[in-house]
Amino acid sequence: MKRVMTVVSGTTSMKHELIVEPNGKKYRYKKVNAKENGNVSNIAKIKNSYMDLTSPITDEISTYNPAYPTVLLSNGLKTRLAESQIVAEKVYCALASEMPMLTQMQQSLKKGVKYVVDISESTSRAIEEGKIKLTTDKSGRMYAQIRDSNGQFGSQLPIIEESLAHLDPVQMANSLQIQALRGQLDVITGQINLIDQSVRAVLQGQQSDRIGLYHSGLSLYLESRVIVSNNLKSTITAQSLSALSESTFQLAAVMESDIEYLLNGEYKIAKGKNVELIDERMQKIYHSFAFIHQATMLRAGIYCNLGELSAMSTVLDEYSRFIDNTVVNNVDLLVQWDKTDSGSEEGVWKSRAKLKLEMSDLAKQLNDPDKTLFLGILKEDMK
Amino acid sequence: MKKVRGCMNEKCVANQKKTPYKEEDEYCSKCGHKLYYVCKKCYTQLPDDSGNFCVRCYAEKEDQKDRIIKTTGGVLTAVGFVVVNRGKKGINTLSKIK
Ligand SMILES: [Zn+2]
Ligand SMILES: [Zn+2]
Repeated sequence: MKRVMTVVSGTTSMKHELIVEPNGKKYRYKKVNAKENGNVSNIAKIKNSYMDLTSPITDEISTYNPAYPTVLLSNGLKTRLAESQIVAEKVYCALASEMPMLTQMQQSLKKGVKYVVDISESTSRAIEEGKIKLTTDKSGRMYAQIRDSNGQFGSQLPIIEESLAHLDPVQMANSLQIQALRGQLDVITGQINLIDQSVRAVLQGQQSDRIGLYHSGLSLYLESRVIVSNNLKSTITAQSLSALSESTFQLAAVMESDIEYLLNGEYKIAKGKNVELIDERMQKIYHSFAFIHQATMLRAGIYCNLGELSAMSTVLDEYSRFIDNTVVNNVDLLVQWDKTDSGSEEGVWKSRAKLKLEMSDLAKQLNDPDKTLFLGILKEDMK
Repeated sequence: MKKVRGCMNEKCVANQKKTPYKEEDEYCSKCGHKLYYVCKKCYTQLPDDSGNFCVRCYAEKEDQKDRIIKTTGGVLTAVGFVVVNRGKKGINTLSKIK
C-alpha cells in the first residue's frame, strides 16, 4: 500500500509524496499537483484578474499600467508563499528525522529507490491518531507536540537546532505564519480582485492635483529599487511609503466630505440640477476610492516585498476599517446615488463593503506572537 | 402608491426585464430567488424602510417638477406652486434660497 504524507496547514493542504532515493539525500518530497487531486481552489477565477495566488509569478508590468500596484502585491505574496512552502518542507523533513517512529520508517526504506513510503500498520495508526503540532516561540525556537488519543498535546519536544541550522529562525517563523494563513490570503485576494475590477476602469486617463502624492509615492518607490546604497534605498522607500500614506489620508478625507454632502442632501439647493450634482459627486467618490485602493495596494505590495508581513497586514487592516466607516455604513445610499449600481450583492458597492471581516482576521493572526503549524499525516490509498 | 419588489438574481429574466412584483410577493416566480424592495423607476435594490423610489430617481422627479415651474410661469407662480404642492418641504426649500 502506498502512503501519502500530507502537510496540513491552515485551511489548505499541500500534498507531498515522500520519496526515498539512495543518492546521498535521505529523501526528497514530490509535490502532488493539487488539481490532479480534484482539490481546486474555491475562489472563482475572474477575467483579467491580476490578483490570483494560484497562477505563477508574472513578469513585471509597466509602471504606467493601472494594474501595477496590484501585480506588485500579488507577486510579492506569491514569492512569500513559495518561500514559505520551501521552508515548511524543510521543517517537515527536519521534524521527520526527529520523530522516532518516522525515523524507523526511514530505516526500513534505505534500500528503496523512488518509491512511496510504506508505513507499518501500527506506526501509521499512531500517526493518524495524533496530530503533530509545530510551534515557534518568540525567539523562533521550534517545538513539536504530538496529540494523543484524548486530543491532548503532549510535552513540547524541542527540535534540534542542527537539523534546522540552515534556516533563519525569523524567516522560519514568518513562513509558518504565511503557510497557516494561506486560506485567508486566498479569500482576501479574491475580494481585492472584485474591487480591483471596478477600480481600474476609473483610473484610465485620470489626472488631478489630489493624486499628485500618489504618483510621487510611486515614482519614489521605483527610484528606491534601483538605488544601490542601502541607506539611501531605505530612506527613499520610507519617503515613498509616507507619500502614499499621506495621499490615502487626503483622498479619504475628500471622499468622506463628498459622502457627507450627499447625505445632507446639499444638492437640493440647486433647483432642477439635483441629479447632475449627485452624479458629479459620485464621480468624485469613484475617483477618490480608486486612488485610495491603488495607494493601498502599492503600500501593501511594498511591505510584502520587503518581507514586512505585519506592516502589510496593518495597511490592509486600515483599508478594511476605512471601508467599514465610509462604504459599509453608507452602502444603502451609495447604491442609490450610483446610477450604475443595481444594488445587488454583486454590485460595485456591496462587493466593496464585503472586504471587511476577513481582513481584520488576517491582521489579528499575523500579529499573534504564537505561530502554529499543524502537520497531519493522512493515510491514503493511491491507485 | 404601493412599493414594488424585484428579483436581484442577475441571471434571471425577471431581473433582466426589470419585472416588478407586488409588495406581498416573497419569491421570484421565474427563478425562485427571494425578492427585495426595488426602485419603481430604475429597479435598484432598496432597504426595507425606504419609499417607492431610490434617492437618485426621487431627485430626478424633483428636477422635473422644478423644470416645469421654470418654463410655465414667473417667479411668483412658481413659489405658489411649490408651497401648495409640497407643503412643509417646499417651505423649507424656499427659506434656504433666501
Ligand atoms: Zn428571478
Ligand atoms: Zn431609482
